[in-house]
Amino acid sequence: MRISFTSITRVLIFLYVILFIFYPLAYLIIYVVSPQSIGEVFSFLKSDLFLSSLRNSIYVSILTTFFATLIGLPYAYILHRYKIFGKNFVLSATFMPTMVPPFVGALSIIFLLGRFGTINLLLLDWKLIDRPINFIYGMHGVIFVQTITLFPWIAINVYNSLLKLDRSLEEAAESLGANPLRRFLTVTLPGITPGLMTGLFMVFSFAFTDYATPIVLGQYELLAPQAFVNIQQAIDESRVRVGTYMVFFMLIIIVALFLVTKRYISLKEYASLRLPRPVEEIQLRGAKKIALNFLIYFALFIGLLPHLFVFIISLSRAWSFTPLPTKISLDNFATILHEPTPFINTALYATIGTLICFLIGTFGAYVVTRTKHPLNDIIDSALSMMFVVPGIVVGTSFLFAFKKDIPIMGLLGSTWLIMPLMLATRRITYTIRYSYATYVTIRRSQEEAAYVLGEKPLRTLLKIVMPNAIYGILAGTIFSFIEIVNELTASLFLYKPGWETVTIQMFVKITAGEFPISAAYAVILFLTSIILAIIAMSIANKGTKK
Amino acid sequence: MVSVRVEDVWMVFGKVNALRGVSLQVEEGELVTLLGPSGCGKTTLLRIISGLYRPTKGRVYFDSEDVTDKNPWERNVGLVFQDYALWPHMTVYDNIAYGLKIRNVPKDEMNERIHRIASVLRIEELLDRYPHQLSGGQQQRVALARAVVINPSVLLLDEPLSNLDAKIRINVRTEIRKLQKELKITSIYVTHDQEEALVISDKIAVMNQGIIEQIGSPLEIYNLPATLFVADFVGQINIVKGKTNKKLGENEVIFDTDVGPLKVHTGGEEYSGEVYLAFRPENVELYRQNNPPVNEENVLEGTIDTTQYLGNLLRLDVLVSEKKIRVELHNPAKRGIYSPGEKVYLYIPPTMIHVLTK
Repeated sequence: MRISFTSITRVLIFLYVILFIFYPLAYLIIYVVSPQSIGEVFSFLKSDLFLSSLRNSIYVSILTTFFATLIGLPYAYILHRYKIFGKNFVLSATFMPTMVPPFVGALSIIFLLGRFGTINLLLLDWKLIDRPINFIYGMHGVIFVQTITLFPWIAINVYNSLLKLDRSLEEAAESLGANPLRRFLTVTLPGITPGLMTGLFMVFSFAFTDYATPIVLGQYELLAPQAFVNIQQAIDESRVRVGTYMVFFMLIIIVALFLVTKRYISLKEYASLRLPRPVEEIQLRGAKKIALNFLIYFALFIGLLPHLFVFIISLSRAWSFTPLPTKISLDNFATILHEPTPFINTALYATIGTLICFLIGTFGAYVVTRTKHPLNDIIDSALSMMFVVPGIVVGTSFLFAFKKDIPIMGLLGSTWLIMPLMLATRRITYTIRYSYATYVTIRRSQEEAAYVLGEKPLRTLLKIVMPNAIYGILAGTIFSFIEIVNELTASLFLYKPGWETVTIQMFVKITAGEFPISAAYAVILFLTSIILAIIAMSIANKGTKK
Repeated sequence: MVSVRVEDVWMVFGKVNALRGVSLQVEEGELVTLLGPSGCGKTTLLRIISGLYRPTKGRVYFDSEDVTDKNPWERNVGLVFQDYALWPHMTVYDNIAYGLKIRNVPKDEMNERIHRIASVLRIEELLDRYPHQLSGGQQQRVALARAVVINPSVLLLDEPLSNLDAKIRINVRTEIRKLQKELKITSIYVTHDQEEALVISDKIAVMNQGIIEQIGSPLEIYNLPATLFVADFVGQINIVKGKTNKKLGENEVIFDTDVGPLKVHTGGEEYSGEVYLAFRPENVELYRQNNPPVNEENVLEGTIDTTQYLGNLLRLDVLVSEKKIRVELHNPAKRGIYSPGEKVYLYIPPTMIHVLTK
């Protein structure tokens, strides 16, 4: 076997996968199933704490998934089938909230629907109620916030599936005499199953493992916040272990769910969040036109409301029991810009993390798509798997696997470098999938033509492949960047004082009660993400047009 | 220019034997076509010669040099792809210049060589354009220029015309042959189109299921097919099973067949057991009932089953003892109208029947 750049790249990337994907997960699993702890694990499994938290978590996740589907599925169907006013805008606007962590929604909702939030105050002012209504404190609040922040995932995935649906299949059903309902159930629905299942899996997985939203809403009787509090506060060794078992069983449940839904989920596709193009649409008239447009815009408004309201919160100086702030100023922004550490950290970690994503995306995806080797499959599966491993699992496993007392690894874990490495590992899937999709469109003969003219493989990649692939890879890299910037659930486990990122700082400020400060961070994060997403999409489009 | 020798090459993909012991000799300056149906291994063999595949077993020589283990970028071959494989981000000029730049050809000489080949292939006006601004035929000529400009030891062409319209295909085909003869480039040409192979080649190697069934000049391949496969793949042919009935002399044998006894000029070869008698549709003579043939042997009586009018020729399927015999008549306008159901006589000249054993 000759030493070529592809074999060197393969070995390097394999080492990366071993070190940052397999090792931390293996560490976590061995920690839990080791002989010392296995007895404890069994008694933990029977404990009231675990059983009630599990029951609550499953209850919340199932209802969230159900309601998100109830909104997301018709939303996608109507948007795809009918001519809706400003469809391209609606599509982009649906996509935006999925980039921002859901707990930002919770922050807004407290101001909107809290005991003395805008809505309650308005209702009190109008004398419609005597005492504030408890809209959000409780499981129903968690379900509500998660439903409105997560339904776009269902909508986007179903919409993607609908785009691939062959119109003639439906026409064939109609020509054979199927009525619209029968056609939908027998032809359309099976066709969109992959997108729907992907959306269901993602929403359930997020709802099940997100601890930030429940904590912001003060709900601790769920698995994820329990695990977080036990591990992160690290009051004593036994509580850390209990937290770890919880994380472990969340991983087991998510993996089991993934295996069940796997045959419907296309790993090759779900990470390509490219905005699809509208297809043949039905013109609407009269009442139906108004009704359907209203439904779409109402759902979109609900989905965007938390993010819009964050703007108002961020500008507020004083609220003294009024529906809207009594004093508006930019002071909150001045305050956060005065402490630039979180911004510097986020920029630094995201830049390094994105660079890692870019390199692995460029060279790793090339090796995997262009060469045959048993290691390729392992690399490919491991990198794709990171899309389904919940943040809480990544955070916990990195926290343990790179802790101080482990030789070499501990050294790495004690420097901030572990942050960008973890972030890159967690968000690599975006770049990888975009790179795959791009390389696949470049025909092998382009490279072979260079080989026979005397060009060696590495230079062929740089001179022939890259000029054509760069748009797709860059688009994927920018999405990785956005997702790194918005990462919270794993970073929050791993960070040490001085390593705070913007999202970590947001969370810290919320738990300290400084909501407007946190909102100001959220605004900056949201605007940055939107601008980057627009850039990424235009780059991706430029690539496909060529 | 070099000669190319392929020695007992095998290629295994997983459980599939794409090539099963292929040997081939291509002389300097010769154009040899690899002809066969898809999946026969012809492209695999071409890619092994280019270095893009390494054979599972066997050797490849350019002159006396063993190049089997050389990378494609070390071989100096010109390869023209089925999909042209022009680089979309480079102009036509840069596409053609690429191989020359790698060879560190001085700028003036490079420019001169590019313009020379461009004028031969009539693409001089296109040098500043990008590939997507060209028609298929133009793209194919650019691909050809890019492969030829480096003065390759061997020129390899992988179904270069299959993406072109029928008319352009004939033009480009003529151009390739002209260029190849002018530059005397040793060339190997892969195609599944038998007409293309007959027109363009010095020699044709007919491939099937990973082996070469026959190598020969176009004339030999058409007139003296070595196997049933070759006979059937190149042109149209009637095949009837036969058994030796009796030998008439040194060169003549009468075979019993499904359509009756047939006399054949065998050229002295001995046949035992079952053989196949093959004859081309254009060699069958057709007679109407009111005008029977004068010969008595090799005359079959049949009924017209179907007729196909193709303008310059009339193709008839005639049922003889429940077996269909295909007949082609040139200049159909002079022959009048034939209708299904009409009884006719067929005469098959003994010299036009070819005996095959496999």
